[in-house]
Amino acid sequence: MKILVVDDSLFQRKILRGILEKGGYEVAGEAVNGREGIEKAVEIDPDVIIMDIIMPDINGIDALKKILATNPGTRVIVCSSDIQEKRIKEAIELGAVYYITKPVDEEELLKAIQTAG
Amino acid sequence: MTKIKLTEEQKDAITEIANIGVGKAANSLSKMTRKLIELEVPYVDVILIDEVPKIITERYHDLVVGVYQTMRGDLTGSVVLMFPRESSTRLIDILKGNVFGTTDVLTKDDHEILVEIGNILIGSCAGSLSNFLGLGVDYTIPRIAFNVSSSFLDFTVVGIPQKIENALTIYAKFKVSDTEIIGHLILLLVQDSIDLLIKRVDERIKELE
Repeated sequence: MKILVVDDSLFQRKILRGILEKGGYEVAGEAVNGREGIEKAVEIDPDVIIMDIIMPDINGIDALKKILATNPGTRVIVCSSDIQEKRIKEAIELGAVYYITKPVDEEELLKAIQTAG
Repeated sequence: MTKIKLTEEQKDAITEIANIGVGKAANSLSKMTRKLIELEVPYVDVILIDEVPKIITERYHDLVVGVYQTMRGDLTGSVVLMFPRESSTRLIDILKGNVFGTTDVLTKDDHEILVEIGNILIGSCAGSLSNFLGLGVDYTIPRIAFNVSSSFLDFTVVGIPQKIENALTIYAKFKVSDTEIIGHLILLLVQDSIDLLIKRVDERIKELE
């Protein structure tokens, strides 16, 4: 399974990578904002994308829209500190398969990947 | 005075932790206003306490409203949430369901609303830092002050025996109904607390290597 991690924080990307690798998954690529996420999604064609929302340049919601418009088969798991119900609803309605709030619960993330995969 | 310079990694880690706090605070505000809050990545830095008044005067030209609490424990000092005047009146308008620009002079009721919002924002952001880094903190009841200045900052740390040289600042901007609200959270911390905070951040960073 190819997983792309999109988050502007190196600290957070390391946390996610650590959890994923511990769960036996390989991180195929990382992106530091939505724009790079969109580019890497085309380049890598991941099965699953873990997407932050609050990012500089293009945010996660706009990146989600773009990525799913181009490749509707990609499963996007949102992972964000934005825990507003309206935001969660928005992301799910736009096609995210799961919404995980930060700080990330390891078990929850791995369960989400398993479900998405 | 000893200037502390955060490494990029430390700044990134603290920003991410602060982000969690800002997210929680936005969620509370969203529930209070029944509106979606648009968030930006907060800006984090450690500066000398002497530099704080400069931020207030250069960045916020108008009257600044401050909600503050004293902290004791692993983080000892004070935490001040500053709103430029315009942001404080906009917040009141949003919460009361008014058209923006309706509130001009803040009433006593408005003060209480701002204290409550301040309490939520401080609790979320500072709380996020202490939770993530395993730090225990006791807070005093939040209070409000107007025309925040350097003497006001000194006042917030009255009774704390250690000298305070550094401040951790978290600058957060968010939008409600396309209207910008700015909050600047400043943690004035005694040296032991700053050292402990940075030590814990470094430990968390090291755990990921």
